[in-house]
Amino acid sequence: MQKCKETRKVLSIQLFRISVLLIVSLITFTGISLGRSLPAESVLNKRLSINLKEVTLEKALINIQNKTGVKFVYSSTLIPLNSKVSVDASEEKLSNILNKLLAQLNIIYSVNAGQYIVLKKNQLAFADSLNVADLLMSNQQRTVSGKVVSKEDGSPFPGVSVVVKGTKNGTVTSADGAYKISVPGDQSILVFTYVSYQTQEVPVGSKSVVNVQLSESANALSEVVVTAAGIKREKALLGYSVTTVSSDKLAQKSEPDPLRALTGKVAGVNIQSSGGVAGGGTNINIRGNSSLGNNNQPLFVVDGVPFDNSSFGNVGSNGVGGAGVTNRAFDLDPNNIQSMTVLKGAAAAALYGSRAANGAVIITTKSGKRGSMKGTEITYSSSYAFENVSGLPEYQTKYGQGTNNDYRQGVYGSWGMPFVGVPSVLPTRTTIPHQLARSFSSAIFPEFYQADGVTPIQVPYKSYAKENVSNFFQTGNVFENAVSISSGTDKGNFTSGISRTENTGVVPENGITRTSINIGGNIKLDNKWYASGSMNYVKTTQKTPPISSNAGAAGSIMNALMYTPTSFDLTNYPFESPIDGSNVYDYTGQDNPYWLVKHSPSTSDVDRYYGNFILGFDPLPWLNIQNTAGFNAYSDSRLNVRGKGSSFYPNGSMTLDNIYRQELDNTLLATITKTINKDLNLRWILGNNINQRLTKRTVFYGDGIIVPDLNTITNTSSIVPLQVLNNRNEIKQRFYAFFTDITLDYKNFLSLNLVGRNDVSSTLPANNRSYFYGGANGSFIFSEALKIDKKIISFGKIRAGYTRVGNEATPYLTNTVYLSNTQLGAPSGVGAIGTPFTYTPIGSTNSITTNTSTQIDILANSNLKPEFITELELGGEVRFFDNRIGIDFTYYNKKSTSQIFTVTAAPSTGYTQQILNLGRATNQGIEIGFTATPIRGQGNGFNWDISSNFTRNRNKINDLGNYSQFTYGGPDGISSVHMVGQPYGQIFGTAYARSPAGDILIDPNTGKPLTSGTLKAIGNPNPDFIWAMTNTFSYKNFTLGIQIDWKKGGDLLSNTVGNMYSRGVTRDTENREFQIVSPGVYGNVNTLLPILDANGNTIPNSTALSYEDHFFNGGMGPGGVAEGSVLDATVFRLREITLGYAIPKDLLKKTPFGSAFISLSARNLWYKAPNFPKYMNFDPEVSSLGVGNSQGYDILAVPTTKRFGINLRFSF
Amino acid sequence: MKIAYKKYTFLLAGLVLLNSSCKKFVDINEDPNNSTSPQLNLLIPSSQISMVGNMYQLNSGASTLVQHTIFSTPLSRFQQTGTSFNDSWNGFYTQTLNDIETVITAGTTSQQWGYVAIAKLEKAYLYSIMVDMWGDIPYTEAEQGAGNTGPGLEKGDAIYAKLFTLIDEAVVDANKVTGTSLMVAGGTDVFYGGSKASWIAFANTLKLKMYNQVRLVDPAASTAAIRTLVASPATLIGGTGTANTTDFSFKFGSNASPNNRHPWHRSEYQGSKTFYMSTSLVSGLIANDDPRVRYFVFRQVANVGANNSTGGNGYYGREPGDPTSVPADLARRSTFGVYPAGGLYDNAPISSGLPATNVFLTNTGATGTLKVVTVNDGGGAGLMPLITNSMVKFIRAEAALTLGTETPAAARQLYMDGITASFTNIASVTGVAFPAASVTGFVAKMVAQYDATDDAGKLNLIMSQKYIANYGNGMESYNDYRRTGLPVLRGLASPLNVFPLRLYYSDTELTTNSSLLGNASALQVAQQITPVFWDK
Repeated sequence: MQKCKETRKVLSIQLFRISVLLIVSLITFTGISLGRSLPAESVLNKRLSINLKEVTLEKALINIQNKTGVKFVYSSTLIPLNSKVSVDASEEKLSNILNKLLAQLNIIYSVNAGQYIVLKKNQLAFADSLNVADLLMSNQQRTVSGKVVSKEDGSPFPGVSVVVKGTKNGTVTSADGAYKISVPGDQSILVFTYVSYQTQEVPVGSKSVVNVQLSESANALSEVVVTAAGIKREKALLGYSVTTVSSDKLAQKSEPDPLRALTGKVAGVNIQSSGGVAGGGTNINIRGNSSLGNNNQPLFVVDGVPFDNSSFGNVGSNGVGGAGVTNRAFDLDPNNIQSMTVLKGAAAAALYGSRAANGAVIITTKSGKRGSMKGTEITYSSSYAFENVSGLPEYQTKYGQGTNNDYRQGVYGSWGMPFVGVPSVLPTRTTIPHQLARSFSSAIFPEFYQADGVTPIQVPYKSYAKENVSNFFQTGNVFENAVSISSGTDKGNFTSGISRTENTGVVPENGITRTSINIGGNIKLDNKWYASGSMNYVKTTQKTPPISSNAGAAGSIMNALMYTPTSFDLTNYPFESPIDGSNVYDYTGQDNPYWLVKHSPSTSDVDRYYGNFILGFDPLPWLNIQNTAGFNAYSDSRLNVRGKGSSFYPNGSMTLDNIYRQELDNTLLATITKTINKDLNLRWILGNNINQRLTKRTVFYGDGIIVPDLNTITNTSSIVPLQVLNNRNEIKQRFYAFFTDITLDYKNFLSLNLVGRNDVSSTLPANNRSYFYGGANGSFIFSEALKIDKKIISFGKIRAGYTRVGNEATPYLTNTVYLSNTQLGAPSGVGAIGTPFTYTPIGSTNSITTNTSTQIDILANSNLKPEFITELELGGEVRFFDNRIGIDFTYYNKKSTSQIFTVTAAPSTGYTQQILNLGRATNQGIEIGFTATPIRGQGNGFNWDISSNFTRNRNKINDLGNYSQFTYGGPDGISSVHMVGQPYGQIFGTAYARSPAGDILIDPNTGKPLTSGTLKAIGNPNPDFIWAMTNTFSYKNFTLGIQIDWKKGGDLLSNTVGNMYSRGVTRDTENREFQIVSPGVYGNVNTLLPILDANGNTIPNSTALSYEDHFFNGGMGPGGVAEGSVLDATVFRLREITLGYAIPKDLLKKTPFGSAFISLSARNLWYKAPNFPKYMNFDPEVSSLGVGNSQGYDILAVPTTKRFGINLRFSF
Repeated sequence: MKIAYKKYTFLLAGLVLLNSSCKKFVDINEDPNNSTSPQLNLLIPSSQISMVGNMYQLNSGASTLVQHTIFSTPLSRFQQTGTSFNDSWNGFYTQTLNDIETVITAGTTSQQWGYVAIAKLEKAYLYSIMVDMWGDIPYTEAEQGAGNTGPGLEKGDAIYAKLFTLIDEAVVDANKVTGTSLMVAGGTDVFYGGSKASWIAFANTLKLKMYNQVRLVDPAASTAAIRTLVASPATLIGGTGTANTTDFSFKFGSNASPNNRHPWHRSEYQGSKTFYMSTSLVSGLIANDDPRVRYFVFRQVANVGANNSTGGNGYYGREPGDPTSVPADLARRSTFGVYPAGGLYDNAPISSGLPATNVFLTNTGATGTLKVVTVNDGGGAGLMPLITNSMVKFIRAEAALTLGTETPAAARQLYMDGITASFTNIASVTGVAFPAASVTGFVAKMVAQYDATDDAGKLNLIMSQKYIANYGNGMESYNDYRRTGLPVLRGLASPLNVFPLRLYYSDTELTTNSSLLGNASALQVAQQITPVFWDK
């Protein structure tokens, strides 16, 4: 027995080494070959020179792997890796070398699945090596067969190692996932292992067929991730935190926006959508905002090429505002995403340079994926989802339109008389004159008048609150269809796909469709060259009625919808004039939402092309040279229509906005991979990157629509060009960079990575435009190094990194310019005078046209320097009990220095904005990933996985030079402020005047609160933490996933809530027939100091207000001072439930399908924002300012939606 | 390995080569869309247009305080906030004065004295108005860009003193342009078409206005200076007559796109509206038989009355200080007329409320119809009366009466000329003539009242008529009211504060100017109750 124990120990060590070897081979394979596939024959025909004497087989195999890029697969227990071997060959075929090498050990080999060289013990010799027990058992041997498929998509799984537990007996699955193995008896357990998949142990019992589904292991020991510049590294060895989200977690979740689909799935990432608009902008930031003034969105890289995620705001005064504008990551179809890797820290992103200072999202598309399998596969997927507004307020149904408890027509408040039957001391009435008769004569609506044509008819005075808003919103839907084809041969492979997504929003006439076509392929050339390329075309069209209520914007559907007077029958009253189709509403100057939906559409047509071409060369076994040329361009043609007959602007107008954006990128990489000695491996990458970004924009304004509803710019009576911001129609920037990345791996448990990069950016002045940065990070897998018992600590590592990343500026900040014929006067509204200026002098009859030029009001900075972000990241990852419990912990401290700010300048300096180059801000945070498998299913048994992540980021402005605060963003009402010692980007607005003790000061004359003399920081939009948990249950063919999340804190200035309070429409203001006294003390309106009594004490407020006044403008509630509308946006949410079912193969036998998968999904089923007024039912996951650094505002946003979907996927 | 090193060498050599050729590659940061050099002939009109454009908020707010109109309910109740006037403050400093300083600097270098003179005069005018409105403001330390990012406040009287010097400098500069009547090319000067004589008249008139403004704090200096100025009345705006050809008024255009129209027209001649007509002004005009009310106000509906009721005469506006919420009356409230907003002339019958004794404001010849105004009604080519002949006459009358700068008889004549000039101006700007008899008749009626009263009454009449003539420029009436307390304004229905003696600073300034941040809130609220230096 002593011997047996020892054997087992050796075995376990071997197992460990084997798995490590496997990993190494995988990494080496993927690393050196950069993912291209190696056809079987060429593998064996590959020639190499090798000279090894008396080394272990393991070392020999590693050596061959390093030189050829082949990958060996073998059963850990079968191959005697410690046996000494010798081989001497010069430019010989690999097959010959393997023959020489393996014959010594009685090992045979075969090429499997076109990619792997599978090593097996020669069966004849096999029995000799078995011990007596094995020999005895072998008497009862029988054959078991089966098929291994991927749990995610049911596709066949080649190359899976199948071993009879406790023996050396093993095999590998074939290309179609099938295997056949001899087992000693019914007690046998088969162990299925594959890199980065969960190992499964299945008792054989009396079965002769054992089919297995392998599922990806979230924290697999040997997960390989794509890091910066397309470099693949083993996750276990990384010195920094990354998270990869695979396709199955993104696609078919009834969420057409790839960014929103990511919500809650990655620690450290904060995603904020802009409400329930189909195609609304989605803001994403990683580890908090670090740049005080610049872009804080991460860099998107698709198949190695930067992918623009801009969100262009509308120009002119009739735009639909931020929330209606899509950010262009929407052009990515989640169905075509193979994986999304989020590189969170500076360390991870250093190689992308400036633009990845805020992290990077590296996306591999299915078409861009290299190295697919042999054979042809066709996958078809289809899904349908419907969506509804997730929460509407609970409206009060007791009081109608009016003020002061009196019915008042035309008033947009519901503080009127109670309805008949409502218990009240107030008088009531049964009918009112038809509301529309007030503004529309009998010439237009004779039916609203009595026979005399003057006296309006009476209509019932009753509540329509329950139906008005809910009737307006419709059931939206998402319909997705995708087909993809991939086909491979020994020489290369080809993928192609087409998909279409249609999302009809809950707002009528709001929708977005996306059609994408992609083709990709790669080919191995005979003379050490290889090439690959992909090409994508995406057409995205969006249509939306005006939904934003930003200051200066035209009428919006949301302007008054949520607080429609409760006794106004919005649903059934006409919304357009039967005579000329003009707007009909009882709120002059504001269009009826139904009218806007019909007559004021905004459309956007995006044509996007992107692709890459990769050419690689392996001149020497240890050297790879690869060039990636990529392009990414789109044109967005927008037409914003303000319909003819609008109350807001009766003549109607259109704005045509053509945006062209182009990005060209080229990366040249030389990769040197060397084994320095037995334990030390080096990989050294040298690279060059050249990039150009260009934006061209032309905007035309057409005034006066000629024929209604003919929406083309030529159908307007005058067309003039509109200037975009600062007249910058064309913006171009370039950079080039040299970089290096050095990785040293010692014995596969210690890794050191050094990166360095020098950027030269066109956006900086010549003397400052070149800047160097870099960093170091390392990892130590202590569980390996200390050989800790895997049953207890399966994996343990610590990692550390310190990186500095430079960040360039935006173009044209270094020179003062003069704008020709720009708009002069007030920034917007009627005080803004257009030029050229045409006028007729007094006493003259001839008009004069005068051109103008004005100095730009941005104070340029000719000494601009790059800004830097330095980040210290410490972390560790430990998994216990056979990977059943895992914790991944990261702490980071990110310092941003010498920030390039565009901040609001003191106007008296002569400028509205100044470009500064100073300041220091820190983001400190922790990210905790937690995984557990409380119940681990065997085979088809019940399995329960928990995956959870926690993100807590604290940001602080440490220094702003000589300044104490900087404001930025929009005008008052939507601006943000940075203040020294306080968090990033606080909400800036009117605040209550307070006594020194902090009590709100009350005006003794009005009983209303006093406003402080100047604007203040009134809320912090940064959440305290974000926590999400996904539970996945699987049993047999069923999989159930439930994701819940909790965003704690983060303030929101909610205009929706403020308005609904002050208009008295929800049940929060139903109990109203009494007066209230606001808490506070009396204050002096001019000194803003408390009024003191004879004893010098403050005087508590005792001035009573009606409930209406309390909430109405200037009141105590959220209808008054902005501070009153700031609420804590803590929200609990049931984000996602999916139930999947893989249709059993035997049911599909008579169909053409190889596999079929059906799932049901539901998103945003339930939420609770405990700090919002109860009956508002408000979902704070809205952001009216769309994408940018100003957050924390809800300006009458469209409510969020909940979706239910059904998804089907077939593969042939 | 040797081969390998060679390869590295090649690689490095290649990279170095690439590097040196890359200088041009990244030399593209000069804005391809915009000019990088200042052009004086384009900057001057820009400064003039932006000055008036930026005045919209300030003028509308000041007009509300003096009950010319009602632009915002809080302001009509004397409640200011940091955003009440921030657009104007921000725009003056960042657009208008910025361009003016560029012209002064660049023009002095290139010795283009005509542009320099205009720029200095505009600067003096604008800063004087800003002092009048806000009291203490950044002046010497202002407009220095990165040179001073926190310009401190300077006392109003100190700035006034510097402005008088600046005006004199400007005249010297103007006189460096010789041999031509045009200081600059005609098309580049929106106010005076480049006329040197007009600009010099403006310079003199500006001094007259400013010396009259400060007459309470330094009567002797004001008296002396005004005496000198009025000694040559021909060198003042309006000269010796009642025509408005040299008025310092800004004429808007009628283009809707790009929009060159009067802001009040743009604001009100559309579905949504911002303003209410002030019942205080309108009822006073009707009661005083003043035909100008048909020019100032256009009724949309003939019979709408107080609180959007029916049965009125259509002059439905708001009482100053009315706190009640706004009903849906956008198609019913009365709105701006043809003067100064460039809207419609109200020639429809007035159904009720006309005193039977009226002679000039009657329904005789009132054949027009009313309508709900739309965007192209009237054309919007209105006027911003900054300094008009009529104002000059009233200023001289006030100075004559209070400082004795001219004789009482001259004061009486100036009072009459002021009224006449107002009518002349309105008729010539709008193209809608008054019946000749109504002008002379009205003037005769007013002068009879003048003759019948004492000096205090005379001053009241001068200031009241100036107040009406100023309609469209609330800033000057706000100055006059604080200086003289005239005309007596209506008490507010529901004031939230006392009458503001200064305007609130821009929130933007208070929250960004490092020299003010410390006590921004106290500084702000003190504005309401702190008089401007000339206000005694």
